[in-house]
This record gives sequence, C-alpha cells and structure tokens, in this order.
Amino acid sequence: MTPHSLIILFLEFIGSFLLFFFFALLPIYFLFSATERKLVADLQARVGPHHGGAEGVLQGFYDFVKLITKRTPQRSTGGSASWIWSAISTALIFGFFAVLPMRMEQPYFQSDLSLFLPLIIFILASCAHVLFGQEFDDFSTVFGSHRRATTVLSLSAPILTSVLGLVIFTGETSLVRLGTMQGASPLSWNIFGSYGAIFQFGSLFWAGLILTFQPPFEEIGFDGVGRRGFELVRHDLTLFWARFSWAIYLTILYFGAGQPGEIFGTTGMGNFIWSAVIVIKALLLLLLGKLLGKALVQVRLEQVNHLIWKWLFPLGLVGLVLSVI
Amino acid sequence: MSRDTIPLQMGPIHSGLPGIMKLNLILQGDVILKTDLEFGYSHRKIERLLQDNDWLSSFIYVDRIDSEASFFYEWAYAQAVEELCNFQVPKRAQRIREIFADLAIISGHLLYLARMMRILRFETAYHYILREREVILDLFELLAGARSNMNYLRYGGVSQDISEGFLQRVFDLSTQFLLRTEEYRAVIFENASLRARLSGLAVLKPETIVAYDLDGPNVRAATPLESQLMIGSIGGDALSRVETRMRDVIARFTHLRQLVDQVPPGDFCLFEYDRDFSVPAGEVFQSVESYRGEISVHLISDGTEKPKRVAWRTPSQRIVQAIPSLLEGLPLHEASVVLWSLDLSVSEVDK
Repeated sequence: MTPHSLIILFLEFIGSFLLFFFFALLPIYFLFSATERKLVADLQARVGPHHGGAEGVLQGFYDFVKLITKRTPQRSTGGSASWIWSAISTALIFGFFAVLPMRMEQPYFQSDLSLFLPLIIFILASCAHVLFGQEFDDFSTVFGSHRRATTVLSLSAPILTSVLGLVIFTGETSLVRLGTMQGASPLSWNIFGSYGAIFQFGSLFWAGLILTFQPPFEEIGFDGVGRRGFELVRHDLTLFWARFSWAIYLTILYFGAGQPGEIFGTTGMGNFIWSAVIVIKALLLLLLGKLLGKALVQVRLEQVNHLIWKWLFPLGLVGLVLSVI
Repeated sequence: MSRDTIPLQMGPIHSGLPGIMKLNLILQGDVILKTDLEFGYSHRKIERLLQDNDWLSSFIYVDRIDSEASFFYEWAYAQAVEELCNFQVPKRAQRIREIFADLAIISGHLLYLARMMRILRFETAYHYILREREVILDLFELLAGARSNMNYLRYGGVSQDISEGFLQRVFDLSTQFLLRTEEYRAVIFENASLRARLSGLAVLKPETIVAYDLDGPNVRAATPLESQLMIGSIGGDALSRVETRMRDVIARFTHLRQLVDQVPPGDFCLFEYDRDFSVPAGEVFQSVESYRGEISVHLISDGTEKPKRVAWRTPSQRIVQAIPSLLEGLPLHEASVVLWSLDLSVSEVDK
C-alpha cells in the first residue's frame, strides 16, 4: 500500500466518522435519550421532559445549549494529564464500530478479528484510565474512576475466556459470520440460535448484558474540565455509545442478525436497511435494560465483581474446557 | 495508626450524609475500622434564643429545631406551657392536633422512605413515595399555611381552625393510600434487589438499645414481634427499619380514617393570643412521641413573659451514639445507607 493510498484511507475514515457522528449518532442519541426519559418518567408516575421541542424530543440539545455557558469547577489537584487520558479513552470507545454504516463493503465487524476488537478497545480504554488517569482528592472520585475502569478490566476476563472457547469451538473469528451461523433472521428475536448452544447463555452473554444495561464505566471520560455543555454531551454520548456498541455486539451474536444481503438484497440500500434493523433491535435492547434498571436498586461494583469472579469467570473457563474437549 | 490504614474525612457537606456533620473514618481497604463523629456545624443556639423571646414567638424558634418534625416540637412545648398554666385544651383542638400528628408522622416516614430509596438509587420507588408526600404537604399548607416550619400550635389550642373540606381530603388521601399499599409492597418490599441490599445490614442489638436509651421505630424494628412479621429480615437490620416505617404509615392512615369522623364542633383555642402572656412560675418536663422517637422538653418559668430555661432532649441525640458501633466492620459504601436507615436528623442534634 502506497503512502498516498494510506492518506486517502485515513481521510476516508475521518470523513466517514464525522459524517456518521453528526448525521447518525447525534440524532439517534437525542431521539433515543428523549424516548428513554419519557418511558422512565411514565414508569415513575411523572411527566418527564416536555419543554425541549415537541414532547421533549430536543431536551438533550436544550440541556447542551443551557450548560454551554457554564464551566465545570476547576479541581485543585487535577493536572492536564487527567483529562487527556480520559479523552483518549473516550476516543477509543468512539472508535468502536465507527465506520460501520459508511463502509458496508468492508464493515468493521466483518473483518477477521472483529470478535476480539470491541474487547481490545475496551481493555485499552480501561488501561488508559487505570494507568494514567489521575485520581482527585475529593471523596466522590477516590473510589470512583479507577474502580470502574478496573471493573471493566475484570469483565474482560470472562468475556475473553468465553470468546476463546467460542473461537476454538467454531473456528470463526468474525462477529458477523458467527451471527450468521446462528441461522436466525434479522427480523426475528431468535435467542436460541442453532449453533453453539453452550455459549448462548454463557459468560459472554451475561457479561455483555452487564456492559449493555449498567456499564460500570459510567464515570470514565468525565474528568475533563471545561464547558459543562460539552462535558455533559461528551459524557452522555460516551456512555450511550459504549452501551450501544455492546448492544449491537449482543444483537449480532445472540438476537438474530442474519447477514447483510440475506433478506434486503446486496445493494447499498439493502445493506443500509440491514444496519437499520440491527440498530433498532440494539436500541430496543437498551430500552429494556433501562426499564429493568429503574425497577431495581442500583447494582454496586462489589456485586458486579462478585458476579464476575465467582460465577462468570468459572463459567467461561468451563466453556473453554468443553470446547477444547 | 498502622501503615495499611487510611484516614478519611467524610463531610461536613456530603450528599451521602443526612446533614451537615463530619465522619472521621479509619479504613482498612474499604472496611471501616473506627468512626468518630463531629457535630456542631449547624448549631443555632435555639435553647438560648428561647430565653430571649416571649412565650408566643417561641414557637417560631421551636420549629427550627427540626423543620420536618416541627409539629412535635411545637406540641411538646405547648403541652409544657399548658401544664404550667393548668389549661384544658378544647376537644376540637385536641382532635385537630391528633390528625396533624398522624399526618406529620406519615410525612416524616414517607420522607425517610424516599431518602432511603434515593441513597439506594432506586429512583422509581423514590418518585412513587414523593407523589404521596406532596399531597400531605398540600394538606399542611391548607391547614397551617406552610409546608414545613408550621408555627401552627398554640398553648391552649391551635392557631387556626381547619378549613372546609379538609377532613374529606384527609379521608380521601387515606383511602387512596391504603388502596396503593399493594403497589408499594410489590415495588419496594418484594423487590429482591432491595431486600438483598438491606437484609442483615447494621443490626441494632438489644444491649446497644439499652446502653444509649434508644426508642422509636428503630427499636420497634428490633423487637421480636416485629421481626416475626417480616420475610427475609432478621430483625433490627436496615430492612426491618424500612419495613417498620411502612407498616407505621399504613397504621396511621387506618387511624386517620377513623379520626376524621371524631372532630367535635366547638372552639379551637382558649383565648386570643398576645405577647404580654406570662406563665406562672414552675418547672415541668413534657414528652411527645415523634416519628423518630421521644422528644422531651424541660421548661422552667419564673412567672415572667419569657421562659427562664428551656432544654430539649431529642431522639437523634441518642441515635448518633450508636453509629460508631454500627459502622464498625462495614464496607465504606454502606456507611451512607446505615446513617440514612437510622433516620438521623443533624438539625436535631445540633439545635
């Protein structure tokens, strides 16, 4: 590959990411957060946002505009390194699936290592925080950011063992091809896929659900100092994007994805419809998780860690051993 | 202090604390080894201020001991003055006070439950509970013109008569709440995640209760009779404290439905109040039962227009003494939950 073509590829990546960010991610985020807030408000016997746009659809945008005039308080002990690393981890998380809708001929998760890629990105993002992120002296963050990042690292242990078991069992390392092997249509919610039943509800499934429903990395990427409007959107978007990414991962692997071109045709429009169906299913999964979360007491990191090391990790090991046998 | 212990100061202003107070903790990892409590950040010298004010305007200061339980402080104070003056409160005023007391107990318990749900991040239950409490605050406003710091009671009666339709609204609210009891039970008390979080947490032992002279719902939750009624609770733990309050709320609403039919016609106070009122010389000790426990006032009058000496004994003063032993050995993240589960009012402690 010549340097010229590398530059073209890089620009194409940046361009597609920016297009995706402003014309797909932001509208989805605003619409989804409005829907989510309305549904939760209904569950909790209150009205919910209703001033920002029609029925509060633009409430997130209004919050952004309101808070753009305000600054986050400057923390006395916070140096520049703290927010640089959180920004890097945020960028890494955003890198996940970034080129999905724009380059359907080479989709991100059709690549040969796509089963591992999300995991690697999350491990990198957590490591950035654990190793380089700066803790602050006030009580709320002493046990905050690092603990959450460490929990994500813990979660990667059962996921890694489970994924390894899956790879050994099936000989496949592509996310979409594995999803296709389940034999379920993208228009169904076939969670009992025909292939690899032992992994259907293994540790990968449950750990993925934890990351989808209640990400322990909630505070990662919120150490920045600046305009509160930007910080709010950056934090919320990162959180949404992280949950959304795992929801897509789970949808393709467990909730019926089929493959691009199977039902909707192999044209560009067919690929687009296929992506839209996957996105809608992932969003529905997120909504379900949100409603479930609001009906329960908040889960603590200790409980998550207990679940990971006492149940999910042994389950992943059992899967790995069985697949080797 | 050994090298593997960590000192941590929590407060004075912290969202996990029930008020302006400070916890000086010694941690090993995230386990609490030792707790020292610091109070006095919101001291308003109320007992001293009462000596400088006449008997009528004292009620305004009495309210400020704890804004949420202001009714009970007013009641104890009014009863003390009535005993010194040998007043017979009219029947109608007595009934109004009883209704108000029930509403205040319910309001206090609902606020307790809402705060517990908030500290557990159980938003849905939090909003459900506040929905009910708002109606009670509306009733307070209708009755006394204020939602907290009511300044409603007077020695010899109450400051205003109940307005038209008040009793009907109390009856309707009681009926509606009792219909919603099942909903509360399903959402809150049959919720496995909540039970798992609170069950067995910070058990109040009999020797602690005796040592610090505790009373109120915290102690009722630790009695064998109460603990037999609970599912999955061992009695005296945070879960039983929450459930006892809910049971108390239901009992109070049932009581209110009977009380609203028993308000006789007649006067609501003995006389027109003025600032020249003086109380005969004497000394009295009076107590009332608030939703946190017993509130007592020791009042000395020298026959003038101002009290000579007023001293208060509040339930939170006693509860705080039990906190270090309850927190010992618990992980740090449970500290806030334990503090809130005891229904502590820092305002009551500092006065």
